[in-house]
Formats: sequence, C-alpha cells, structure tokens
Amino acid sequence: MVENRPFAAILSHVILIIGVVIIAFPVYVAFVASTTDPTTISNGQLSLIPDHHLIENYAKVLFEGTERSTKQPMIVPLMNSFIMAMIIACGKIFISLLSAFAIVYFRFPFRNTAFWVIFLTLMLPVEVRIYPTYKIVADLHMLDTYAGLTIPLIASATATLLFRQFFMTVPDELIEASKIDGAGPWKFFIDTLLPLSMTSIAAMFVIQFIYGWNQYLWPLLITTRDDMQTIVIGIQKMLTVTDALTEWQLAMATTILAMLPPVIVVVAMQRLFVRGLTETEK
Amino acid sequence: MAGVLLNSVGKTYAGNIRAVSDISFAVPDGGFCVLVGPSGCGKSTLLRMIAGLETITDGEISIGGRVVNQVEPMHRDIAMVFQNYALYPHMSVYDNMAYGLRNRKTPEPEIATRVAEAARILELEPFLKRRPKQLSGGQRQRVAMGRAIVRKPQVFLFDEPLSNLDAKLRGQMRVEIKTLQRQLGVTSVYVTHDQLEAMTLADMLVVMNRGRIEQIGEPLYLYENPATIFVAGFIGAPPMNMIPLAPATGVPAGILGAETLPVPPTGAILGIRPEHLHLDRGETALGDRLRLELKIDAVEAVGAETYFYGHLGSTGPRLVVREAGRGSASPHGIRAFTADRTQIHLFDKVSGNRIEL
Amino acid sequence: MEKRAVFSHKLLPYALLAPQLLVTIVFFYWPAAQAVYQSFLIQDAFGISTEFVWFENYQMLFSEPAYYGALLTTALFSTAVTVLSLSLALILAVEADKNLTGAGLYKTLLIWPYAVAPAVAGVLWLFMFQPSLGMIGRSLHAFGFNWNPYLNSGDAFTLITAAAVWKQISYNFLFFLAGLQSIPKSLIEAAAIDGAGSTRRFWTIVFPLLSPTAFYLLTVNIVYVFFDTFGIIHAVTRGGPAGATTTLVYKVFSDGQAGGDLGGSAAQSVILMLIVIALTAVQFRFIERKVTY
Repeated sequence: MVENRPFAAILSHVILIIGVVIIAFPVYVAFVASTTDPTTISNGQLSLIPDHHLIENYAKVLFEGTERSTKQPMIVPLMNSFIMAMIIACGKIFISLLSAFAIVYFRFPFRNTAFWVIFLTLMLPVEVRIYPTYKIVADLHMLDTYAGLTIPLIASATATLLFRQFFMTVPDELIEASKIDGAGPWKFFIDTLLPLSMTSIAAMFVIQFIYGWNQYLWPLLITTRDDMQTIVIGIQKMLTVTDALTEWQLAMATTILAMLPPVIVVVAMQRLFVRGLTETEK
Repeated sequence: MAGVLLNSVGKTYAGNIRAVSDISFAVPDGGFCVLVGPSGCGKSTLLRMIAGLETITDGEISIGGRVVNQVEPMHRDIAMVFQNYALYPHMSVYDNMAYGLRNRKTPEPEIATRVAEAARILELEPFLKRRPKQLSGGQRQRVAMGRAIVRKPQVFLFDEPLSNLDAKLRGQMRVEIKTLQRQLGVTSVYVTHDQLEAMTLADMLVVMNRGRIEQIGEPLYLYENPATIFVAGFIGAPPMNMIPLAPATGVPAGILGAETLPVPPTGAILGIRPEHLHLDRGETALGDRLRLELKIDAVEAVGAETYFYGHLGSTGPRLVVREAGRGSASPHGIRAFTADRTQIHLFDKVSGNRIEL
Repeated sequence: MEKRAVFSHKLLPYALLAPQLLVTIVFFYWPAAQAVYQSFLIQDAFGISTEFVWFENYQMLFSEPAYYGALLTTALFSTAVTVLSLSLALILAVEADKNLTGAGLYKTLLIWPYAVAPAVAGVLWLFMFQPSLGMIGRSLHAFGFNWNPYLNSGDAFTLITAAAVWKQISYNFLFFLAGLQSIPKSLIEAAAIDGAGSTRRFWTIVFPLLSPTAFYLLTVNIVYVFFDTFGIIHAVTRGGPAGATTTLVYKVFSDGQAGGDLGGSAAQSVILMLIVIALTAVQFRFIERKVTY
C-alpha cells in the first residue's frame, strides 16, 4: 500500500464483507431451509435462524427420498456423482498424461497432426454435438452406464495442454541423465516424470473433479433410470412437481449435499486449485 | 578401463547446419582430455556424441576398442556430470546415486557398499537422506560426481561441471576432480570454456573453434607453441598481445629489432605474451631481444605482480605487460619494454598459422 | 519450444496417444461431422427417406421468429452476465489485492461458488425469489412489486442472470486477483511518487496492465453464458415463460427433445459450433504462447 489512510482500509473491508455476504447469502438461506419443516416454508415464515429439523431432513433425503416427487433415496445419486466425477477426473488425467508424454518426448510422423486433433477439441463442447453423440452412445449400448456417462467427456485438450506445458519446463538434462542411468522411456515416465508432475496432477484433479461433478446436460440426456441419476439432476427432478407441492426443505437439503463435496475440494485444496485454474486456462 | 577414439567424426543437423567436422583424436586409457573453446564451438555437441545423446552423422567413435555409433547411452558404459547437475529433485542423495545401479539390476547390498564408498570419498555421508534442494551448490556438484563414480564406468564425461559454482568453490572443486580422477584412473573427457580450468586439469588439451580442432597437445606445449592465432589468443590470461606487421609499411613505430622477422608478403601478426615483456632497465644489450615503447594508460599493482596497459608507439595497438614484483610508471609517460626473441610468436595474417622462427 | 533430448521409439508414441485419440475421434469428431452432415438432410415425417437439401435447413431456421428470439435472448443474457460479473469481480479483486488483514480469508470466502454446479446455483436463487414462499420474493410483494418469474419474462430473465452472475464472479475474481498480483508493486510506487492519486493510478497504470486478463475473461465468460448456463435455465425456467429465457443451446436441446426435425437441430448445432470456433479464434491470441510449434 502506498497510502496509509485508515478510512480507505475500512471502506475496503466494507466492500469485501458485502461481497462475501452476497455470495454466501443464498447458500445460507438454503441451509436454514434444510433445517426447517415444510409448513414454515410454505407459509413463507422462513427466518434467518436455523431450525432443529436438520438431522431429520438430511436423513430423510439420503435414505428415503421425497414423498411427493422422485421418492428416491439421494444416497444413490450422491454416489453416482462421486463415481462419475472420479472417473472423469482420473480418466482425463491418465489419457492426457500419456498423450502429452508422447507429444513432448517423442519425434514421430503426424506428431503435429495429433497435437492439433487434440487441441481443436477445445472448440467442440458437448453442447454443440449433443444429439449425434447421444446417438453414438446409444448405438454402443452405453445409455444408463457409467461408461456412457463418463467416456465421452474424458478427452481433454485442457489437461493435455497443461501437462505438455509442464513437461516443457522439465530440464532436458534429466532425461539425458536417465538415459545414461539406463532408464528407457517407460522407466523415465514412471520414475522421474510422474513424481515431478504430482503438483500439476493434483491441480488438474481438483478442476476436473468439479467439472465432472457439475455436469448437467449430458447426464440429463443419457440417464433414464433413477439408479443412474446424478445428484444435480436429482434436485431438478424434485422441483418438477407442481410448485406448491415441492418439498423445499428436502430439496434444499439435497442442494447442500450436492454442493458440499466440490466446495470442500476447492476450499481444502485452494492453493492447488488456483494454480491449476490460472495456469491451464491462461 | 578403456581409451576413447574419435575418427573423422562430424555432425550435421537438419537443414545442413554443421556443428562439428572432421574431429579425430585418441584419449589414452586413464587420460584426462579437456575440450576447450568459446561457446558455440561444438565442444558440448562432441561430448554429447561421445555420450550417445546426439547421433553421429560422420565418422566413428570407439570406447575401449568397440565402435559405439549405434549403441544406446546406457550401454556405452559411461557416466556424465552435467552443468546443472541434473539431479533427480524428488529422490534423496542416496537414491540419486543408486538409481543407475538399480536400473542395471545391481544387487542392493552391492549398491549400498558402492554408494557408501562414494559418499566417503566425496564427504557426502551426512547428506545421504537429503533431497538435492536441501544442498548447497558445491554439495550438489559432489552428488553429481558421486552418481558418476558409483557406476564404475569406463569413461567419465564432464559437461562444464563447475560453471555454476562461485570462483572460490570452482578452484577448490577443480583440484578435487583432478585428484579423484588420478586416484580412480578413469579415462575422462571434460568440456569447459574456461582456459584456466582447461590448463590445470588436462593431460591432453583439445582446442576447438567453429566446429573444428585448432590444436591438440599437452597444455604447456600449447602455451609455448600455439599452432594458430586462435589458440594463441585463447590460451593464457591476460591474452597474448597481437601486433600486426605489414611488409609494405614496414615495422610499426615503437618496435626495435623486428625488421629481421620473416614477414610474408600478405602480412603477419606478431604475438608476445604479457608475461614475456619486461621493463627495459637498460642492463641487457638488444642483440637477441625486441624493444617496445609504450605510452602508458594505466598501471595496476596487485602486489605480487604489476600490470601495465599502454599503446605501442603511442598510437599503435593496445598492449598489456605483466611484470613480476613491483614496477612503476606514471600514466601518460613513455616506458620501454623488451622481449626475448625465443619467446615471441609469429603468425601468417591470412591463414592464421604459426610461422616457425 | 522443442525438447533437445527425446526418446526414439517407433510404435510407443502411437500407443501412448491411442486412448485420447480414440475417444476424441469417436465422441468429438465423428458426432461433429454427423451434425454437419445431418444439417444438409431433410427426413420425411415417417423417417423412411432422407433427402440432401443443401442449406434448406438453415434457410428454414433463419425464417423462424423463435430462432431470432433465442439469438436475441442469448445476446442480452451474455452481455448482462459478462458486464455484471466482470465489473463486480474487478471491484472485489481490487479491494482484496490491498494488503488488508484477513485478505486470505476473503479470498477463500469469495472463490468457492466456482465449485457450485450452475443448476444448483439456479435452484438457490429460485428458492430465494420464489414469489409465494421465497424470502426475497415475498418481500418484493410486500413492497408492492408484482414479482413473478414464472409468468413475467423480465423477472425470469433477471432471476437467471442473477444466478449466472453469482456463480461466475468467483472465477473472474480469481483471474483479476492473479492479474493484479502480477503487476510489480514498484510500478505502483513509481506512479505514486510521480504524483498520481489512487484513482488515477488505477485507470492509468493498473487497468491498462490488466486489460489482457479482462479480454481473456471476456471471451471465457461469453462461452460460459452460451453453454454452462444451460443448467440454470433448465432447472429454473425451462426456457420460459413463453421462450423468454430460451438461449441458443437451450433451443437445440428442447427442439431435439420435442423430436422430429433432426436436420434443423443439426443446423442449430453447426451454427453454435461456428460461434465457438470464432470465440476460440479470438481467444487464441492469448493461448498462442502455449501452442507455438
């Protein structure tokens, strides 16, 4: 700080606190709603102080489900979301590490072509190819499977670019020392490159886990069975009954449950997450 | 143990860029060969070709009598010390040294013995569990050496291993490397751009320039008999004084006794090392000496010796004199110096080659 | 940038690339090519015969008022979300960049909505603004506003915009903060010695140096509004009322759900593809460093 004016600092705090409150307020309201009973909500008497139905509501949502809409215990979609996010994050990291390794550490015909083929997928988000992709997944009998939920989302230019960029910064002497030490490509990859990439991998994991967890359009299309649903879709289905009948206290409990895992990942791994985000996308 | 033989070795990169051409020399078993030259002269490329990290496009390289052109680095039985050490940052000092042995399926007890031995020689015992990041520059350098030693290779290759160290440490490590190499008796090829390092380490000095060899020989022989202007200027510090002589215009002002030098019609360069010029105190007759008059610009007294900087005949080329002990001269004054005829050098101005006197 | 040292191996690199290329071709290029191909076909009502019709699907699309409606909605939505989320994020980032006590805590408290799914963000805002029982929705009625996002187009549009902005602020904040922190402090100090006050310093030094970040964020935000906000719209308004919140992507989805016109839906996809390609090309200037061969 160049100036030292107490008033300016107070103003900054005020602005930031207003920001934090606006950001947090919707979630706080949802949390309060998830601790209350249906009548309070439908009478519009929701206050800002949590009620005492917390355990009751969350247990109900997790193990029984709503009474009027989906009637499915939400533990299943919660698990599905987790599995989907894990497969997508790990899968993307795995195939991207391999392809970045090939592109950076080998010289072979069509290397540039391969790079561009991967790079250009940045221009084809799932939304622009949705029905033809759906058809392929259907033809491959992958509707309502984890494979169908995850594999079409697993190719990632972002992760490949990040790893490529990181590999470029690994000194050439390390591969030369490895060669002299008798390590072939595979041994170099496992013994040296992977351990050195751990921070990048972790950063990528955070971002891709969130990406996988928050998928919406794709699971909406390719899952029809209740037991294959993801948690985000589950919330939306709770709202589809006539609005007045929506069991908001349960819907809000589900919302909190759907937010918790990715938010925990971001907050717990904040440093890695920030690094991964600003480095990949910039 | 084995010698290294290079026979008409050359390297051409894609796009017909020649990095090195027609390199032939033999390093005897147990010899210490230093490749020296300015940056970009091809010395590192040549070393990396011996290591197998660069392909050889012409000629043959043999190690221990076996042609290794097509042999992978790991099968050449060499060890290399890199300029930035290339230590594996995620491995402990112990694992860094053990890695190459493990890849060759050396039994663990044997590895432990060898690493312990190397650690003892290099005084690395307290640091075996540390990561490279937790070591000082000099210690990292030793680990890099250790990694080479434990393998007991036929040949050590050094790629400017001391250039990342500060001057004091560099001097110390230089002595250690030389001692260690003598002790182990392993054939070594060492690349540096530092002529002092080259002179002190080498049994055999290979001076390179623009991808070619300028001269090969023992360091002192090269100092006394530089074959070209390049070698004359590169070896020795401060560098040799160079005075152009043209037959048409005669000897430049300020030199006495140079008229009899065999200057070819195209001109010559007269070379005199700073340490071979001495203050003329008038005690010796000129006969077998040259006499040079300098207009003094500056005098630097550093205790054991004194440096005089000045221009020959006040407007001629700038010369340096290194006089043992203390001498005095006032700036802007004229001082006379003499040089023994047996210690001067003459080179052809066009070809750069030495003219024997 | 190229590696000096590489491995030489004939088959291994292809094996390493195979998984990614396989997925890419089967699930990216093949469907994209299908979309392009189908956009030139018209299928009869029974799905028995198809006819190659060149650009007829596109002509039909552009003669459809609903398509212009979606185009306009998308444009308004993009502008509103981008302008609001960028400016709010910039204000917060500038404040958080000052050496305040608790700056780290503010940062944590501002970035977590990045992890919230757009659909969830939509549901959170819907619950607050629900006209009959939402905390703020009811208050608005109490103050005499006839607020109803279920029936009023403007209200629906405002609601999804609010949810989309709320979700996006954290991302923009992070990038602005990173951008601000990369400006050397000595520059600010030099400007202060040169007599520039804090407002003047911001507009003459900080803002120009931040403009690459801002420009990058601009394109990223537009892409976000185009695609990622689908979840918000689907969960909150279903594109309604009366199509007031139907964006281009939502229209592709809903037309496809309604079934029937494969060619028309494919043509819409192709137009979207062209828009992404254009946006990526603009953004490419900033990624160039990463991809220079």
